[in-house]
Amino acid sequence: MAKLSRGTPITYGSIDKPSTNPTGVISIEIIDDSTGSDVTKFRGEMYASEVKLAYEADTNQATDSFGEVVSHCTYNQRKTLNLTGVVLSNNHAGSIPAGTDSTITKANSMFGAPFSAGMKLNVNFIDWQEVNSEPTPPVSENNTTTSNAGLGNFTITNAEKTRSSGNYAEWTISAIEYLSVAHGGDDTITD
Amino acid sequence: MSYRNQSEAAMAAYLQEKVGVPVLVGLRDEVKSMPCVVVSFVSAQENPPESGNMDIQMQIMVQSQIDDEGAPGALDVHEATVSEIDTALGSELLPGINQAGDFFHYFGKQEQSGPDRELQDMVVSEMFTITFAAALGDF
Repeated sequence: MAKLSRGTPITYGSIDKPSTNPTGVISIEIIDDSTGSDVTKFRGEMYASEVKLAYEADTNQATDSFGEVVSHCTYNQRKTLNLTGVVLSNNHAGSIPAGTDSTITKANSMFGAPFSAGMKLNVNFIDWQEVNSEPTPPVSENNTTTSNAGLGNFTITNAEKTRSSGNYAEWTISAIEYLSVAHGGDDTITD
Repeated sequence: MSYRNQSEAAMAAYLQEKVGVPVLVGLRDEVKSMPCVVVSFVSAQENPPESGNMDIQMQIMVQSQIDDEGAPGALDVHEATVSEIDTALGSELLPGINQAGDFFHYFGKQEQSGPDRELQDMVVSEMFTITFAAALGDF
């Protein structure tokens, strides 16, 4: 029987729905380590309408007298994560801002949590190892299971919070992680 | 209760406080006497996906009979009711639809159109169509 007549497993959508995360929510955590110790500025969750991961590098070329590229190198290898989604109220004991409420007030408090570019971003996304944080992803009301098999160690480079008329308020976060030049090494927290 | 029942009940209860004529829900088991306001749920679409929150479209219709069999001064009552509904659906007042304990929460309005007037057999109908974001829950 042809494969197509039965269906084929394909990654679908921004959120897989294994039994470990049936509500389809990703947990995120923002940590300020500028003072030498970790201060958590946000620990909550979002419906991620889009999670985008890009691998990038800068390049340099050597050319001969005819202008032909005879050699090139890449450097500044990095991966860039873009998260877009709606932030939820997060009725969870570990929530930051704190509070175990399922209210609009708590949702507003989570949306308005102050943080800055340059802070660390941890993500709990079990089904996407490149995004999932290493070593300890955060948990939240609707995403309580974690996996330590993550490769994410991101720093926020850009963040936007949008409240527009006729729509839910949304966060857009861009974060970057520089990668080891030696590809044989682990992509770990020490990168 | 379903989204349909819950949102119709919430809208009807809210509008009943604003107008002086009966407010009925779309599917009812009572005889309609005009003038009246009929609230009916049209459709809902989940937004954001997987959240359980819905973008709900509703129609609010003011109906009056303006011939000899209609109530005296029916047209004046009709015009006044349309005006009251118009005000009640304004962004300033509509958040008042959120009542404690009704397991319905209105977040905000997305679109509104009307009143669109129709006259048929001396029954005048004016219809407002409104789309708003809402959830079943007491937030």
